[in-house]
Amino acid sequence: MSSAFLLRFKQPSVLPGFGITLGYTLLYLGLIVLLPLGALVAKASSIGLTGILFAAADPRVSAALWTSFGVSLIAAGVASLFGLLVAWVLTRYDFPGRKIVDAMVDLPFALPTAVAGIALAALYAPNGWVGAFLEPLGIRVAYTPLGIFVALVFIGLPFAVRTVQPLIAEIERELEEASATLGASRWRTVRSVLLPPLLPGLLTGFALAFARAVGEYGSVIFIAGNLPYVSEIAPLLIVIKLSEYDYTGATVIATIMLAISFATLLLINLIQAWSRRRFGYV
Amino acid sequence: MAQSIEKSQAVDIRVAGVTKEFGDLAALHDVHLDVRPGELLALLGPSGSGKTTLLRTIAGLVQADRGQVLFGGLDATHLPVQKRQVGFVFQHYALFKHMSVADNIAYGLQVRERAKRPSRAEIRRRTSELLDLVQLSGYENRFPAQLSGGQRQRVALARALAVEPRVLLLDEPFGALDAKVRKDLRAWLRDIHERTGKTTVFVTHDQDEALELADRVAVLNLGRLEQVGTPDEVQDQPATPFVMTFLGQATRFAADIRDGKVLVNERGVRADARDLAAGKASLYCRPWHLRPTPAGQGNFQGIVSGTRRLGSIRRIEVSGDDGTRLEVEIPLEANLQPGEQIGLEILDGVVFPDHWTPR
Repeated sequence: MSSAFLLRFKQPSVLPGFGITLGYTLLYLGLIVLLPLGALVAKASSIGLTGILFAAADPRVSAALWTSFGVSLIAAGVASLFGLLVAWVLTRYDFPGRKIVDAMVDLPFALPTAVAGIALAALYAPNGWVGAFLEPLGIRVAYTPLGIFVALVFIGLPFAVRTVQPLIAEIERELEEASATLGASRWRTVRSVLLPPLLPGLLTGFALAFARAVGEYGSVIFIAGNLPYVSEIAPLLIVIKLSEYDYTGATVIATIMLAISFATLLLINLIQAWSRRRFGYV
Repeated sequence: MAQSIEKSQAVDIRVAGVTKEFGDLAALHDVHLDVRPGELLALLGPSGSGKTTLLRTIAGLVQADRGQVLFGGLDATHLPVQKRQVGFVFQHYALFKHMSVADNIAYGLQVRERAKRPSRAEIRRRTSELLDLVQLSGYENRFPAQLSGGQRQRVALARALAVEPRVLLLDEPFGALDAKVRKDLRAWLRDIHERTGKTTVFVTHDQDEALELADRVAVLNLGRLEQVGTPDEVQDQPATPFVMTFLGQATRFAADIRDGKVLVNERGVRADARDLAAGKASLYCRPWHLRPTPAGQGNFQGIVSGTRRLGSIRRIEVSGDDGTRLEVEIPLEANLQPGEQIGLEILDGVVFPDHWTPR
């Protein structure tokens, strides 16, 4: 019976090894991803669902959650737009130093995030290079939610660039020319011919940038100022709870974050599946 | 006066002295070309001859360095592509992959500003009419990826026709298709052209395609227009040696012109040389311009080195005593074996004086 069951999943291929690779995949997924997450949820559930909801209702916790998810969403959106532009310029135009700029896009991946945070804080502080110009205009970036936003855009940008870049490279120039000969304005060509094929990549980039932003800790805490109720992010609150030996409190916040993140990513995936069907990508 | 109006009406598109350079490379050199209303004109040339650049200049996708493009007597040189009302069909179709066949065809109408846009029902009617014309009714909800190459090119043509362009421009429309589909589409395009009467310019490197399809053929070489004429004209009276050799198999003989007569190896040829000055010249012959004779007679001596049967004729290969190789077409019943020593009589040909300069 079990061999018949396995046969149903057997796929003809020149490279054998479906069983063994699937086995390893499931084992590592279990050990590295599911086990810690399961332990987290198990620990949090020791206080029950009402306890979790009660913890989420705590003003300081809910303020931190709002800050984390709200700013992450906006930052991921801005990073996607900005990343699209950067990817377009890097793929479509040739200019001196293009390769260097292209390599620099990955720096936020490689840089220890604390370094980025400190650098950004120094730049945007009221007496910093950029902050000094913004201060007279009444704009304060460092030590406000705006600072969190700046740090998260920095962190999210490479995701947005790298996911749409290959898709832009695939778009033939003739498509733009065809659209123009048919009388479409430039903006119409961008909207109707260029953007739809990029949408799946844009959404993937957005999802990755968002996921990264929600979990970001190192760069944010240096620039945020970390004022409770104003510019305190949820990951920082978890660290604070831990340092107070409030393990249950920490896991409860983590579980809430996990649930919201999972729901958001699921939603983005559903939008993507819909857009694929809508635009004929099977 | 009346004559000049009539003359301007007989020209749909005029290309006047267009020059285009890409870096050091002259893609087009002082090209003058008139496209007549309703005609099917082929731009024929080898790759790198500038034929596609010329087509793209007419469309406005390439800006000429010098010269003008006129549409119906109006200067369109600086008119942007969007306003030129040209239907352009690309070699690789350039269909919008994320749109259905119907949406692709309707695109040119959908993008019009509200005041000029037909109603939804009207767009749907036009789309289904065009689908009918290109014989793809029932395919409106398919996506380009689900169509064959020939079907894609037909959708591309319907999309270009939807905006009712002043002229249809086709860039190697059958270049990416296999031989059988090419042949079918050729006849089909001729048919569509007869039904719509749309002025059409198409680019091709295939002389058979140009000669079979076009009302007139414009032959380009190295950015220069060598000749424009009907298929008969370019075949019977080629203007340059290039046109002669590009349009088919041609053999060159060194010839002398004396007293208005053409001589090859001191024997006379009946080719027309009335207007030519005495001196050295080249005589170009088609395979059927040559007739085998017994050895020692005719203009040329050689050995039969191979024979092939091609339908109703036999083509023999002759290695000349002077080392040249040439092909001759003979009737099936003429029995010549490889190794046989024969002579060749030149029946006809086209003469060009050496040190020939383009007119």
